[in-house]
Amino acid sequence: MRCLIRNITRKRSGITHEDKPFSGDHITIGRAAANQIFLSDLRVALNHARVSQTPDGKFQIQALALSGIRINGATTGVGIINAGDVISIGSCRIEVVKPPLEGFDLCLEVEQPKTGAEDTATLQSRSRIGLENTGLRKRMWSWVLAVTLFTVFLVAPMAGFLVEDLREPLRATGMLSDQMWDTGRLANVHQFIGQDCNACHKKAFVRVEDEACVECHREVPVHADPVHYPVEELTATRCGSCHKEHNAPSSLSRLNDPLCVDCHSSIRDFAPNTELLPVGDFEEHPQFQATLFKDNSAASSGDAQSDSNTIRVSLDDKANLVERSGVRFDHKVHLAAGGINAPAGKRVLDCGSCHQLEPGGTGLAPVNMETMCQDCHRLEFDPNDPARQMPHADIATVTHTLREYYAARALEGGYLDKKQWQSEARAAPDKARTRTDPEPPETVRKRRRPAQELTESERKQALEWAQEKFAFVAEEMFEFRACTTCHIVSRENIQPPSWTLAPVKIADRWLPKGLFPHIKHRTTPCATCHAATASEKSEDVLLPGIESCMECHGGPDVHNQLASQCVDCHKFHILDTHFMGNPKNMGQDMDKSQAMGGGQ
Amino acid sequence: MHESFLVYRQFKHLKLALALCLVAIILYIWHPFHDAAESRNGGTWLGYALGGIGAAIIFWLTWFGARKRSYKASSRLQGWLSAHVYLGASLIIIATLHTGFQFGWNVHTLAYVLMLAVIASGFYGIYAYARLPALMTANRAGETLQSMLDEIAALDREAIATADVISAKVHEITVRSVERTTVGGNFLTQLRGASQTENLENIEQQLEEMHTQLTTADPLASDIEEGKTMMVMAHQLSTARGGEQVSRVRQLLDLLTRKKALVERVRKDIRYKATMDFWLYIHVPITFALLAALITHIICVFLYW
Repeated sequence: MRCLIRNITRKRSGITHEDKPFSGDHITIGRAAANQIFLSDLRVALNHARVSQTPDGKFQIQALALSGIRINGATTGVGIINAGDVISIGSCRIEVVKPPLEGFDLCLEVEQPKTGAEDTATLQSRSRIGLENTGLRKRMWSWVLAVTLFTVFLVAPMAGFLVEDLREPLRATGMLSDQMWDTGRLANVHQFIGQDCNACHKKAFVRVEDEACVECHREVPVHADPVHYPVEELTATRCGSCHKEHNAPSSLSRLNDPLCVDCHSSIRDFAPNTELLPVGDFEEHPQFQATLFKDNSAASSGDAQSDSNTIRVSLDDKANLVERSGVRFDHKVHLAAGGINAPAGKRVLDCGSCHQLEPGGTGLAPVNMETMCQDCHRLEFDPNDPARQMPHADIATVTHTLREYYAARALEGGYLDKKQWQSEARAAPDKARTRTDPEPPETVRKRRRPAQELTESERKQALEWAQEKFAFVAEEMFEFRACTTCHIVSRENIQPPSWTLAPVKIADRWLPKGLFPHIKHRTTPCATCHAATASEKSEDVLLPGIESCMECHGGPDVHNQLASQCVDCHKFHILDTHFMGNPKNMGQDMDKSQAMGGGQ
Repeated sequence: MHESFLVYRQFKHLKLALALCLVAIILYIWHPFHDAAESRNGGTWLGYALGGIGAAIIFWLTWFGARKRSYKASSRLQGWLSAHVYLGASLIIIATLHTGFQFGWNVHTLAYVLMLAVIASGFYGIYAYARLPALMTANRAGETLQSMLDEIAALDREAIATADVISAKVHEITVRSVERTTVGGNFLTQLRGASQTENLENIEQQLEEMHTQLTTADPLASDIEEGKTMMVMAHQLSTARGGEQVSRVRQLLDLLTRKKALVERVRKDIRYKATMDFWLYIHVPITFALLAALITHIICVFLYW
């Protein structure tokens, strides 16, 4: 092979070179003077390397020394070299270049450093010192991480929010959707909403609006009549300000007292005409006010309690604390420890004999005369026919029953009227009767065969007796026995006589503004709160005062009592004539009431 | 006298951070809605307040990265670092209270976890800056990294020159040893430091050859078979004839021993430096991840208000 060996020398004035042509089998490189390429660097072995031509015409360099050679920076023992490659031995540099002159197969440009000049750089140049030279870039990783997080957690979910078609596919991925924005578990009642964030979150950067709630929650009662009490705190408050989602298992509703007492501690400021008393906290809770029927004869039996037929009387106002139920009842007698006389002997009654929980357990079911009283208070009206009883019904029904009974008995015949009442009428022992028991005529007493006809005069005689007997029995029942035991009966002295019953107005609930769940208090004996064993009159309002509650309950911060909050007894959504979030019920009425001067 | 950033102005920023935490804890416990049923979360007014303070602190702490590069600012960088450390640590309390201990698989908790990772790496940084400079100073023993590298280069030159006079084989081994010696390397190598020490001596095959060449019946054959440069040198020493040759080999041995010790010190220096610097490769990128998560957190909670 023919090779041009070109020795390069760098000087301040420029680069000079000295060419040395060579032809032979191989070129030797080393520190020995006999080498074709002579390198004076001490790190070069005497015979360091050899360049030869391979059979296929390529050039190969082979190291003869243990320290090897570096081709383009990589240490090796042997390698093929091409134009452009750089061979390093020690600090010497041999570059393979295209032969600049005709007739050469190869040209090697040899450059030797000046003595010692580059030595200090060698260890350093081989080594990477400092983490900044390891290819790790803080800035690059910062960008990569930030952009990745923005894409995954902000851009993708935003795309789903803005483009409806993308929403479900993105949600299916889980990671790239607004599921990653979920701040916490939904309340159990809302779990069915699932992943559909936009069921509630409809507008960006706008808090969930009431419309979203009332889509499902139609007809949620308002707190107070927006017409009469156009209080901004009530009409302008969002559902979401009290009902906080994504906080399960915590309550969905704000239950804390400030919710109530913010207004109710100075309720007159918000509703100047209200009859409600201000209340700041449980310790200052005003005495209960029982809702009692007014002394109003216009009300009739079974009327429900309403604002117009009731008054609220403080339990401390003993003079006015009168239950006007229209029914006589002596709790003390009935709850006698030794029992009361019953058909089968003494029977001991307790509260539960008459007062049972209504379904749900909050209130008590109405007392039922037929099932609870009639065992003892039988409505029999004729000692000769003790099995027969009057219906427990209104006066017209009862009088018809009696009239028909005696007419039938008179016409049938065989009514002997031998037996008298065994007991004295206790209901009105001193009252004088206006009638006497008519002696049944022969026609009535005589037994007749079936189908035996009565004459006209016999009929007339029998029915006259029946009428008199009815009048006597009715007076006895209404004014001396059965009815008057419990009811207040008054008589109109007309012919035929007529009676009226004072309307029965038993309060459904004395404290309708609060919730007293009897079922939660069933471990406490009734007598703890209700002084029934001492009550002789049905006018007594057998309610415990707030002080009785305070024996066990305390405010929300107490530790030695049952910590209680407003909402434990009081509901917020109470007025079911108007509904939350419904502009028809809120806004329009509001406008009208404001036009009418504030609606007060 | 030097004052550590930790005690800067009688712990001014520590006191500030502690006061901030104390106020946050008191407010959290007192919480106006002290209602067992009402959950504590980032959406209460206290939650918004703590979140706002926390976010402001995070943005401000991130600004430290820009501030430390600025040499024009009037305030002292040391004060900034002191505040950076203590306010950063106070975020553990403030942000945790902001969460109301509500965690989940969501971007909100991600931001929180990233913040804790940044703080944890920062704590490592404090440890590194407090402990490693003293170790580095002791290791350098008054020299600089550059002077040590220069010294190694000088020793290399001298060793090669000496080896050249001894024999061609010894020269080759020495040159190879010099050329294969490196310090530093990739991220992990720099952190581990001593991993490439064998390079100085890992020339077994060549030593085997030399072994056969030097002597036939060799009492130290077993040692030489272990293939250590030092052993070969010692062997050379024992078999060398003539006082001059003995002193040359002894000189070379001495040079290589000094070099080895120096290389170890350089590697240790590099390891200390890497140990002191590597946490920033976590601290900084995760800070930017945190910023992304935090901004996302703020945007999305108000987007789905």
